[in-house]
Amino acid sequence: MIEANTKVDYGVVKRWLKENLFSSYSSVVLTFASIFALVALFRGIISFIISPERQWTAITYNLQLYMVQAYPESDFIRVWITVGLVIVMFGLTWGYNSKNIRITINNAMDKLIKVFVVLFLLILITPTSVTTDKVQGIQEEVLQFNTRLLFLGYVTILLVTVIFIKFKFSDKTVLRDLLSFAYLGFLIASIWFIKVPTVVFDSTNVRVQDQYLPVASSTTIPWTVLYFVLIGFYYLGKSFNSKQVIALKRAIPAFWFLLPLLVVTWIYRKPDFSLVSIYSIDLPMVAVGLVLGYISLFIFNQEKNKKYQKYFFYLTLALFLVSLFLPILRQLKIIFFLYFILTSLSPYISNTKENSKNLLIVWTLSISIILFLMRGGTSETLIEVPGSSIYGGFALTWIIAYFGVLLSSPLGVLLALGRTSKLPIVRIICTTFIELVRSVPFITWLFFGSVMLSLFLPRGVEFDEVVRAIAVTAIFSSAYLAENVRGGLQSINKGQFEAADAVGLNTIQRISLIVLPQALRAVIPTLVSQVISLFKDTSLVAIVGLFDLLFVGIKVIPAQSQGANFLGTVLENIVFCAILYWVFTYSFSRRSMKIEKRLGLGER
Amino acid sequence: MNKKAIVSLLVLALVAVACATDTAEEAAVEEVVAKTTLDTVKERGFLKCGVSGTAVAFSETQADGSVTGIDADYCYAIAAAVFGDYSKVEFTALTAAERFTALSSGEVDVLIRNTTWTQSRDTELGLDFGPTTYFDGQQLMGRNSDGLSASSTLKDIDGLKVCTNAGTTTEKNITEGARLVGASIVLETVETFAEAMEKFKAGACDIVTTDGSALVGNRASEGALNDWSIFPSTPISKEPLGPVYRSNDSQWGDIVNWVVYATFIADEYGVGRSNVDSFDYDANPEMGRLTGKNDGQLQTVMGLSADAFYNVIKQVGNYDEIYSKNLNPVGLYREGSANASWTDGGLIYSPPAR
Repeated sequence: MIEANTKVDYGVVKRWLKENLFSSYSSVVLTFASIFALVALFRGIISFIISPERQWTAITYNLQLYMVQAYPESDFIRVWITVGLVIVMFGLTWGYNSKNIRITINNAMDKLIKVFVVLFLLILITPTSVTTDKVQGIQEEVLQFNTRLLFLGYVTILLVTVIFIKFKFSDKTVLRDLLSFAYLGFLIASIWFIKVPTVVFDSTNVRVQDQYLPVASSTTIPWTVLYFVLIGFYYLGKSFNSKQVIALKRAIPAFWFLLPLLVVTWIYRKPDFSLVSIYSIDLPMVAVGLVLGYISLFIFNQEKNKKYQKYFFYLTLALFLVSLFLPILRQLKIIFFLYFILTSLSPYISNTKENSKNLLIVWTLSISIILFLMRGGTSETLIEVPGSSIYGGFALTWIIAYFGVLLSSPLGVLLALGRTSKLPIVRIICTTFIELVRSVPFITWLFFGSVMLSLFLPRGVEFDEVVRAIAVTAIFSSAYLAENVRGGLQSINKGQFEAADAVGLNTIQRISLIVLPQALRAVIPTLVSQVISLFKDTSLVAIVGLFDLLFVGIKVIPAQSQGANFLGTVLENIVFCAILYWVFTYSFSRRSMKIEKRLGLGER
Repeated sequence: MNKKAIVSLLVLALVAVACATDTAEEAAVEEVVAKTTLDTVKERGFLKCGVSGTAVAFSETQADGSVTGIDADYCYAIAAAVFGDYSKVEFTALTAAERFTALSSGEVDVLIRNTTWTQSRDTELGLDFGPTTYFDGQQLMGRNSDGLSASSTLKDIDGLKVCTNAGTTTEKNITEGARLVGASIVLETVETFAEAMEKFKAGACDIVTTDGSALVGNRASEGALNDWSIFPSTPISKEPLGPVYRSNDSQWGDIVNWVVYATFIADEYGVGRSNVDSFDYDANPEMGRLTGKNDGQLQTVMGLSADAFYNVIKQVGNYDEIYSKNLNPVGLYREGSANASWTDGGLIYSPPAR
């Protein structure tokens, strides 16, 4: 059996080589030229990485600065709890949506073989010595012959094992998810064994020779625990799926949507949830909001009361406008505002029993969440950061990117609808806005938000620098998004509008049920590339004094002369930042490809 | 339907306007009662200090997010004087472009961001400059293999290729300086100084020029102490760096000034963190007055506590300690420079405390 397989494989390999690489004289030349170029390129990259000049400890030592800047270590437990929550929800989502796809061992091992072969080749072409001083031409040996042999031996053993498994179990299949757990488990296990270059100080606080030390247990233990939590909740999600727990299907997207808001409130605000204020302000407020909402929804559900709707609408409007000028709690004003929105929307949405039930749930949730966020957002933060800003590093990059997308998406869609609207004022406003925003560079807007805005605002009115950066990012991105969406809108056949009118849908229903689903579906690739470019554009906020990931890497760390002294370590940090950006933008685009596939885009 | 949409849009716009004016009015009412900077700072509970956050030895951000450096230490010193606790500072990282706007709009209380004191900045911006904490100046750096040394002068760079960054006064200074001594140079300007350094390292330039402190820092980070020389010993430009504050509040200005002077005076008498408690104040009445060992009236009339400057010296240190801690590691020493005490021939000088 095995014999037969190998024979066939040789033939395949031979034929593939002949057809693809050596089909003619010119292709032979091309093949060897590109192999030579690739080897030279990778030798260059490898010798850059392993050169003794590189101080990779600049990254391991500054990881905290990279991720959260000055976030106090005593509050790290909040970060771990949040990460745990994400892992729990990730496991549930994964398990709940699991399709039980099986793949053959043969295919899985083929992929591994590719990885190990590449690894083998990389070790093979690693240069023995690298030039550390170009002017004087000094070379230093970085890889001894014996070490290279040892590494090659390890990889060969792995390769042989994998090939053995491939042929031994070639007809067996395995759950794809199990395979993912195996790979993840391998990663988790490896952090217990690998040693990373670490900065070491002696007793007098003077930095001595770097050492390779194991990863600290404050990193390994939480991740190991989280790994098992992930597996546990994966199976829980799976069992929910088989038990047909429908509620989870709605809860999961809602949670992912709300998660960053909770993260910011819980990690960064650390709000003062004193019981007194919760009992005396928040709970009564929620009660007021709920009672108001239930009453109006109850009234509108009765057919005989429909004619009073209009008066009710004006009543709530008056209530809200009057409340603005009354010296009452801000929470109450917000509730009146939401109430007004509810009464103005409910005639269009709550026309069926099912819809009004949903509206009731949405109302309950939004009142509670908004009041929770107000408590978190407006009460004094309890986190003490000695000196420096609490927002920074990769966390800041994510905060700006996430809120930028969150705010710019609805704004962009509204602008696109406005620009294609028949109402002249709305159209002119939207067009002017889009053209104005798009015709000025992003950096100029950032400067405007950071430096000039404070000149226009009355003295004492201050917005946080981060808030201003988010607002500018969202506004700028929304203009581009609007044009993308408008492209989608234009692709929709006029017949669709007429059909919507013919079945008696009103404007909101026509747009939300007929037009937007088709328009957005058509522009998913451009929307994703917009998100990716927004994610990378966040690095520009550095010019207004915010320390985002890239700025920490190229300016902050290379300026550290105290402590471990990483003066001038720009190259290492640029490489690290580039890898981080690549990992995340690449996974965005992979994710969008999956969505496109699911929606059948490009197939019809 | 459309009518309804228009009405609701208009109402929404109204609401937005109403919300905005609501908060703005509240804030405006609060601002009617003019408060001194000191009151604002005390009420807030911490000092807002504008720094660079990325300037080697002046204000660096460390791995745990803390800020160190000579500029940062003077922020700590002001907090120690106002609150008796040096840690009550919030640093705001400012870029060169936004630093003055941030100060005049009240975003920071004091700006200590290696800012050069010039006539135009002092007179045109509505800002005042405190005493200089570091005397910097433009210098040149060249290779010893080109026959240059620390005692070289501008005449020695005749015929060499000089690199510097564009858009600053450094370019102007070197051109004028070279013309003055009759040396002909080839000037190449690049976008940032980091680029100029790369060119210098690669041998594409013979000389790089910028502020002396930056040259020393770069030389230290490249480990080229014995290969590269910085000259001339008297810089070709004056770059006095110190704290900046708004000019409409002389009480606050006095506080910032005298925090700096207190570190100078303590340095002059050799009083530092270690001996501030054991020092014989009876034998030195000036130090006694400064640290509030007598009645401390000099401090209380400024709005500070009597032991304000004692806290500065105890928690942050005197000028020499601040300087040595931050600037010695990158190879900048006081001896023989303008930053030596006036008793040693330098420019660090303070009015008497009496």
